[in-house]
Amino acid sequence: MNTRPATLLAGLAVVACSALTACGAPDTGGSASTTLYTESTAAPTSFDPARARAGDDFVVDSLLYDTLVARDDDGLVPALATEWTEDSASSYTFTIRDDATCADGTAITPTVVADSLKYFANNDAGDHVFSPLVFGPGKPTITADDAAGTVSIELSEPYAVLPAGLAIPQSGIICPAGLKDPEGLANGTVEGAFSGPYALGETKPGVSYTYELRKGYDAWPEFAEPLTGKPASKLVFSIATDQATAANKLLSGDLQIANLGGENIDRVSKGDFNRVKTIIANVYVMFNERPGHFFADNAEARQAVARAIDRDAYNNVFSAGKADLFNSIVPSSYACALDDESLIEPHDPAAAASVLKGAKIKMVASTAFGDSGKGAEYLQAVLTDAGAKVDLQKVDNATWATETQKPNGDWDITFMGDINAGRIISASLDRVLGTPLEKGGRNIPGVDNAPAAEALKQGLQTADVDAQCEAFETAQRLLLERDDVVPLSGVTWETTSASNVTVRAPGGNLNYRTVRIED
Amino acid sequence: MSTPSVTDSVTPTPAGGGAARRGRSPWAEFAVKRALGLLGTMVVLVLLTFFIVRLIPGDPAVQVAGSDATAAQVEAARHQLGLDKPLWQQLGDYVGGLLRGDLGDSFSMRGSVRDVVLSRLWFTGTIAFVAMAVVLLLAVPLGMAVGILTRGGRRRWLDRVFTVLTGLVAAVPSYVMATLLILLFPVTLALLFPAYSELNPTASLVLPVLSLAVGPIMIMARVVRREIAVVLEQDFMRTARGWRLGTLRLYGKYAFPSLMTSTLTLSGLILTAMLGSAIVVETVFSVPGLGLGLVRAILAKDYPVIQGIVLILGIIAALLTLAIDTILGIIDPRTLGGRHA
Repeated sequence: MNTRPATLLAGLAVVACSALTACGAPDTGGSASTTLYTESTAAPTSFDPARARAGDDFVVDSLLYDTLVARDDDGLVPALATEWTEDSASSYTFTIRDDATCADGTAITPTVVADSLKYFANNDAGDHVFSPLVFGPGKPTITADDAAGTVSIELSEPYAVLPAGLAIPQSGIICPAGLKDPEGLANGTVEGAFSGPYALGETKPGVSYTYELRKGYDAWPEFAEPLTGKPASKLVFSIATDQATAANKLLSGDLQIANLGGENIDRVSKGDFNRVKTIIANVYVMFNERPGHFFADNAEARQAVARAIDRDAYNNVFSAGKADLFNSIVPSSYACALDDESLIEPHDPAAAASVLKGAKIKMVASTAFGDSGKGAEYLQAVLTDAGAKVDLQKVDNATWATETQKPNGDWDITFMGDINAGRIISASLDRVLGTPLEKGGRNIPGVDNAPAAEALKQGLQTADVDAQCEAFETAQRLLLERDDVVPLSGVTWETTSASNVTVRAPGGNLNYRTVRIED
Repeated sequence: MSTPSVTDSVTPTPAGGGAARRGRSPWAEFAVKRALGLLGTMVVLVLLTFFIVRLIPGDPAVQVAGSDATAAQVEAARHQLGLDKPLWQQLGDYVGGLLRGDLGDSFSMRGSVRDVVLSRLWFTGTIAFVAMAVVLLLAVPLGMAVGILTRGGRRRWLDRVFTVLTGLVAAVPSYVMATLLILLFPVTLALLFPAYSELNPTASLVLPVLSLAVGPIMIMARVVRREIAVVLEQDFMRTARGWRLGTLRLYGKYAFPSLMTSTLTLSGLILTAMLGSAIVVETVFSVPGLGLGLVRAILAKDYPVIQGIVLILGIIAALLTLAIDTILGIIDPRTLGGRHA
């Protein structure tokens, strides 16, 4: 009996000593190790790319599945498809490389590619959310020609941005083993399903996920600036708590890659790190323009809101000044983005007050955008200064989405955080100019701007790049002239990595396939 | 146990009534009562969590369908999750699953709730039980030492310092303690880890354990100090002192056993409370345990995971209480609630 406490004490002492010793020399995953540790904001909702729904799913899919094309800084580059032709906005042909294989050794033939794309295009169950964004509003007819090594896609309705859509990870090619076992595919248990550079390794649900480099994989995208260094043999994604903790872990060497925003960027600014800046969501003010709401048919009031905002002051509150201000609903780096500052309403609080005095405005905002929704607090403050009575509901992202994405949502104004996975401008315009929610579309505020909507439609119907951009720019101009939206900024991340680790964001899209360890 | 103790010196309650009067073992009555209590607790937990999670604002179907989903796709997600069924049917499905040992599937991540709970239980269990061990190893000797040194009104200054200090530290909430420890060790002294580290899992759990343990150490030390003061005044201790035994033998063999009842009772309460505090501490230190899992599940409107974690934490708390009561029953059968057979 007397020896037990002593044994326990000794045991604890050993644990404590080993713990304290360990903290003196943490394993930073240096040159000897090719395992890299990083974080994602949430656990993957599915390992089936067609059923991907959230940003973290896209990251996983980009590691596990190859796409036909890849996004680079100056447009699209070959990936599984070595080249492609656009006969019209409805007809496309992709030539498939002949040396790619699945994780189980199966050759990735045109038939394999076509079968995967047909699976993705089939949205009968409504869970292939991104299928309409890739193939457009019509039905695709996908055919393979193994002899010629090509896959043809014919669309029942013109959709000029199809190739760009085929660069998003959600359209990644699923190998035959995965298509045979949809449940296993979603659970990530079918190793033969993977066509990408990594396969799913150890998983601790909701805690961490390990991705292991496939031996012999060599179908890396052909970026204009070739990747140097060697890929990590393992990438371990644990689920992040917050960015402050991620910054702590990066500084202590527990992470080699972390996504930081706002003031957390300053915390690591003096360290020897590599950095790449990405915009993960485009933020703008959106008005509920359905009948019965304050801003419906009230362009003067929308303009007053725009004039109440001092964009620099907003940006300081929203991101400690780290974000870039936009002149449209997307950043200027998007193809066909309008970057005309003259379309931005000047800051004029007096003019705003003359219109908004006494107005009763219901505002809903997500805490996910900016520093716990501080941008929304700024907007509430300036509208209150203008004499409006603003009822702000600041809620978590799911509650915000629930409220704003139902046609009868009880809100007048909100901060929109638009995550545009494909960086395709039409996808962002569709959110405010397309078919409204109540008719099965994606137009959240119910904006009825017919000329702008027509311009968007025209842009999607032409394969001529210049004509397409002209149409999309017209749509943006008409949208901004009516103050249907008030452009603000992006939710900006700096992906910060250890000095010997690089990550790239080709075309502004953070791409974990580009993670390399330099010698 | 032949050693004289406080419990031995307590006058037995008069016989009559209860299990003994009916000729039944008090353990049988104890077992029946506790089994019924456990069952009742489970029923209440299941019903409460099932209905409370549905009061959380926000629609899980919208969350699951994602920000790019149309209304039709949200409805498809709702159907897939079974949230389009009447509430009574959802409850029936959930209870039916529980009876088969199935906690359901997570809404927000691939996999069963069982796997989610199992992958996180180790972390919560480790920090809670190690913290409890630290509490016992430090608080009991500390309380005994102060009690012995200040017995009979000796060293009043020490008594005052001890009372004030332990009172102050015990009043610090665990999340404040966690923040202070981060400020002191990783930030100021560049020692230990501010968050859980996959690279150094053991070392990175030291501060979470301390955050949980510091407050309870103070509470238990105060209780032990008061208990030992009473024990030291007992006749058997005066007699033992007269035998001129060594200090360790005197207090370890004769005084310590008398503290067992109160120490164990308090340990049970502290350990149960630690499971609650773990929610905060795991969040501060990013420890992927049940507490952090619960917070994330609430934010993700992941009903099955919330229900599963609350149920498992409830079962653990109930079983801990049962285990402590059983041990107390073995040490002192009068605590069983019946009479000696």
